[in-house]
Amino acid sequence: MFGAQKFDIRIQVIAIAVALFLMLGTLELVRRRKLGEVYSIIWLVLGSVILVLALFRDLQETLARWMGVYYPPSLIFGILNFLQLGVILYLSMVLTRLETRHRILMQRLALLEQHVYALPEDSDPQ
Amino acid sequence: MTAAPFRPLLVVPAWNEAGSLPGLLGALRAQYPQYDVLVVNDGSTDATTEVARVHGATVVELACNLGIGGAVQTGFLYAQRYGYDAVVRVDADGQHPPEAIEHLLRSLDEMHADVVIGSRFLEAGGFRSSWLRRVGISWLGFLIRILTRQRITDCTSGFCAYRHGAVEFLAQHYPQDYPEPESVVLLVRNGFRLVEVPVVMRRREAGRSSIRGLRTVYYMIKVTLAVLVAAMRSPVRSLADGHHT
Repeated sequence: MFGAQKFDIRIQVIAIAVALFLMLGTLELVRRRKLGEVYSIIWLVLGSVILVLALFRDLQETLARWMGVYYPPSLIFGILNFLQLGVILYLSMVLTRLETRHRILMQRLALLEQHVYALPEDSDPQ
Repeated sequence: MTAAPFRPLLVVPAWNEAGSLPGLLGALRAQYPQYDVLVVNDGSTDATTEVARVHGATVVELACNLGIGGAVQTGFLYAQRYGYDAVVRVDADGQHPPEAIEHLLRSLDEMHADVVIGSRFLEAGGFRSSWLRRVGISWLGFLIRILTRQRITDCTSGFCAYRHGAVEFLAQHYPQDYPEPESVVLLVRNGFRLVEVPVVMRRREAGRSSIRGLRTVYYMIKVTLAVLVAAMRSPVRSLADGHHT
């Protein structure tokens, strides 16, 4: 009984540490302007979910029992996995949107450059 | 049709084609001195732009390589901006015979088509690709026939003529990465009239197909998926009146 209790506390501490590290790291990246606020929200929400589940053992155990998970702390990592899949899917969508915009921009630039190239020489602004 | 002379644009997508452009552009200028030729330099690292300009073509340069879809679409955008009546895509690798361009363009009017596809398989003769590739082309043709009820024998052919309306549409909606079969579905679904005419194609003179090895598998998966999804999308423009939304 004591052994199981001790193990549970260790995993709880680890989960809390991971959550805090993720959230503080995210904030630091935003502060350094390496991460946009929009994307930081995803990671802050993800961190909060871990933190809440790690802090409130009762909630964790209720949810785990309800979902048929036998070892409640693994629920944290299970949920984390699903959320991560969602984040990756969302990022692929962002990437697709960026590719489309990038293509349109390159095409516009190419036509503009050709237009400038075709201008008569004496039409340069003085 | 207006009384003004018919003005088509010949679009040559080119990625590192400095070696093969002189032959093609020379032939185009000899056979079609009255037509404008646009070379779309798709981020080449060789002298494609300079060679094309020396041989009298207008050149549009993409800053990085977009792939054939993005390059051909740039040709549509150019044709739309400068009000051309039609576009013919002619590849620089020597497979598309310049002498057939007139036939494609004439067929636009004679067959009342919005798009004319030059097909290797409608009549015997010429270079018809390898056995395995023909199986792949048949599979895509089968899918397209199921999805659009239209029989297209050579849906991977890039040797096509597009009338003004189709050019304007594709300037906005042309597919990317291996665009040909998907564009057939897209065009039919949006009420454009596609016809095929027989064309005798040649073996490529320069370079080799970009679709080889593992990419063949990727090509088939990507294009099959794209064709299926294209058939699931609702039309972008109204079928009834042909106006653009």
